[in-house]
Amino acid sequence: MKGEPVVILLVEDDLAHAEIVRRNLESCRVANQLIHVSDGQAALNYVNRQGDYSDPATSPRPGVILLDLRLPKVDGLEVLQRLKSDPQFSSIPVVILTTSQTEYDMVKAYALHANSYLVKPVDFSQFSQLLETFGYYWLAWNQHPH
Amino acid sequence: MNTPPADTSEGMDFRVIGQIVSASGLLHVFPSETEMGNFLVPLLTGVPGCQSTSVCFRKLAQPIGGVRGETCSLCARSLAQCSETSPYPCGLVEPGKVRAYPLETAGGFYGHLIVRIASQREYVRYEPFVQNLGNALAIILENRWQQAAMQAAKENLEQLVKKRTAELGKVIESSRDLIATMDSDHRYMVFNSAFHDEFQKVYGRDLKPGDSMTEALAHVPDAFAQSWKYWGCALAGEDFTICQEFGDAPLDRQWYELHFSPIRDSAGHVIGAVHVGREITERKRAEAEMRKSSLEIQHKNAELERFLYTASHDLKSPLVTVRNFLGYLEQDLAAGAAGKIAEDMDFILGAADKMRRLLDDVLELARAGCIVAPPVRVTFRQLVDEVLSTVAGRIAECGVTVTVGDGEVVLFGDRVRLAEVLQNLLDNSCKFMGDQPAPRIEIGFEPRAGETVFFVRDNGIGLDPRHQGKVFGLFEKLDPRAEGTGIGLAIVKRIVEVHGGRIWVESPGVGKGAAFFFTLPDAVEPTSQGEK
Amino acid sequence: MAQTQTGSRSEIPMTQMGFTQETFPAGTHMCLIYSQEAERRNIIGKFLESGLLAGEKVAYFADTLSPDEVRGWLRDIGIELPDVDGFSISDATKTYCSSGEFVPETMLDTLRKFYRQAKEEGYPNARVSGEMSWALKGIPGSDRLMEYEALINEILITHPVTAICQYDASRFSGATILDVLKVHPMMVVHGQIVHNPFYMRPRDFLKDFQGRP
Repeated sequence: MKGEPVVILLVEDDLAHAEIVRRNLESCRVANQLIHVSDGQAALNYVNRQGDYSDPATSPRPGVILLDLRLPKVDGLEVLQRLKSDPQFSSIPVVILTTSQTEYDMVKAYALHANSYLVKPVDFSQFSQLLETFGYYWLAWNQHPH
Repeated sequence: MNTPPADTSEGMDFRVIGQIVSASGLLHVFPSETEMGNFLVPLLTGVPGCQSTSVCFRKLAQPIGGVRGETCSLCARSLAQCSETSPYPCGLVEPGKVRAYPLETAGGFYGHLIVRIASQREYVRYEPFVQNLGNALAIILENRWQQAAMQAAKENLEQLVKKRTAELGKVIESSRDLIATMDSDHRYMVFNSAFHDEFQKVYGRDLKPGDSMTEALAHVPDAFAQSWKYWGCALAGEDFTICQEFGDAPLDRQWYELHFSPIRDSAGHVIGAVHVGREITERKRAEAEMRKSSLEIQHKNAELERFLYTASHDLKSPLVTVRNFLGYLEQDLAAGAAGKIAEDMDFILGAADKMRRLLDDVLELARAGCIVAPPVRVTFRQLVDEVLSTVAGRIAECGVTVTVGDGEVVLFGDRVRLAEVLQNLLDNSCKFMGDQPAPRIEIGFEPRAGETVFFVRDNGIGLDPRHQGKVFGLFEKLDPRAEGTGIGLAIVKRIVEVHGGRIWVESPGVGKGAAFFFTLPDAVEPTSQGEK
Repeated sequence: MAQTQTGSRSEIPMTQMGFTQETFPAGTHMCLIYSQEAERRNIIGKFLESGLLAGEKVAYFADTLSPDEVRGWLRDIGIELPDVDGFSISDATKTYCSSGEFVPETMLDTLRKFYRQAKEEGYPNARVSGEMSWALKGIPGSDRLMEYEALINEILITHPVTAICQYDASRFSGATILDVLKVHPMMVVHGQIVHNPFYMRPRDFLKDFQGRP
């Protein structure tokens, strides 16, 4: 619903990259709540409200998931597959955000029903632009049921 | 019966003619030209008007009559001057006194029948008969000569065949391939020493040419059935090659490439079969080695690809960080936000460090694949003690108790690398001890299925079974917050593999400790294997 | 064909030779000069068989084969051999040189006795055949063989024993063969019996023979 901050679940193992995303989305004009987990297992635990994430108050359902591919414990593609094959969560848009530009990863991601595939730009201005656009697109423009 | 009166000239005429004529019919009984001559000479000498007779037979291995070497004994002239067509050879003078009848046929010239005449008047009426006798004699000589020539040719041919057979026999004999032939009655006919010796070695039988296969292999029914099948196919006209193993003991096994083909006569019917066997044990071994190497190379190539992919990936990440935070830094410097500036610089430095560490580890991994130091002998115990003293500080810090198993194993390899294996494993165990009152690490080895398996066991935080396979992957860190780049175990794996071994981890689950097992077949001295 | 004999014409019967259709008077003296063993056996076998079939008393003097071998050979070609008296096979050397030496007169005597005995025993005729190779063994007196052969011709007039003398051309010299021809009135050539144009009257031959250096 418009007005309420959109919950973004960021699954990213690199703390520096997580910081970049955080800073950018912070300055985004669309309200959002960023939740960061560092590995694939934690991501699954979060959506399933298990372990540390059993309290719905502290673990709100994400409106969009930003997913890196190279993750410890459970790999990004596996997380994607699990999310998309579970009817409970398959409707949550998953946007891949990764350094990998390889065709293989891209094909695999789309085959597993990723909603979008973004490559982290090395260039600073480009990254902030990307995230700003992301913010607008997925948070403001993109419609989704609650 | 009476003979006709001898003094009637007419009667003598017929008798003499009869003698000359019947002599032609009798000549064939004589076994040699010499006896023919001995028969003819007195006979013809008895012809009225004839003084003496001689024969000169050429074209014999030992010419008889007037020939002695290169000169004629009758006239002492050279044979070259004796012409076949001349009616007066030998330069014999007095044409009226000597008659020389050439013994010749369409096929050739065989000599002369020479008659010295006493009385021309008396002799002349018998001359035609003597000439006929000469012709008959020539034919007989020709027959004999042709037969002799044919016999000589036959003998020559037989000699040649014998010689060629012996030569071929030598060729077959000199070959180290196992060569044997069999006739259509399943009897071994020709075979070389290589075949015979191998046959004796494998079946314990001294094979002789002509032995039947049924009899020779009666005591080994399985081998017999197989041999029967193969030879049978060849005798049925098939041409084929098979590979087969011989020998009992594992060390004795030899591979042979056996080629079977039928032997056909000029009409194309199969009259036998031939088998050529070549020992290819070495070749098989080389092929197996090559396959193994090829697989290894493929494996290594795949690993390298994975490595390059991962490395380039993991180097890109810190680069993203550096560039972006430089951007932020610029902004924050302009804004004068001191706190943020410090934070930005932390991230940048962190990323730069990470890149450096990654690069270092990559180099380390590459080096781990090469054994640079010459191999030395060191006992496992010595290695363990060395490593324990190196990481003593860390062990004390973590408060870990280390126990070492008993027993002696002698290792022969790169001491530094082998120590690195233990060190990395110890480091790893210490790192993942978790919070517990009695952290323990056990180091030792045990025999398992004929090989020595080394282990480093801890009672730390253990591993989720789902993750156990990934733990040796490059840059795989199950816990991103733990220190290090995650390359330690990859290095250990590399070193172990270079020593021909393999490494794996067993853990009952999270919180239940973990044990790393590895083998070093190329470094363990066989004599000391598994002594406990 | 058959010449007039000095003996009484009606006394000389005609006999079968076995290997030829023609019949010849008993006492015909033939030489067989051969080079092929098969040919020899064929002719001699038939000769002996026809004699046995005619009920003649037959004697064989063997040298190249043993008496038993001869019996075997004859049985093999299907000849039924009667009792010993009717058909005797003896060793040629022993027969011709009974005293260890060859004496023509002795042998001529033996031959005469043979004929007389056959007649006494009731045989219509008698025939003999001998393998003459025994003469090549160098037995003393064997050089007088031709004398003997020449003289037989006179004996056979009064004691007509049909005889074939076997000479192996591969073993006797050519000159000897010529002499053999001179002393046999008939010869067997290509399975036929023909007059021997070389034949000389015994006295003429002996004069010639003994006059040689």
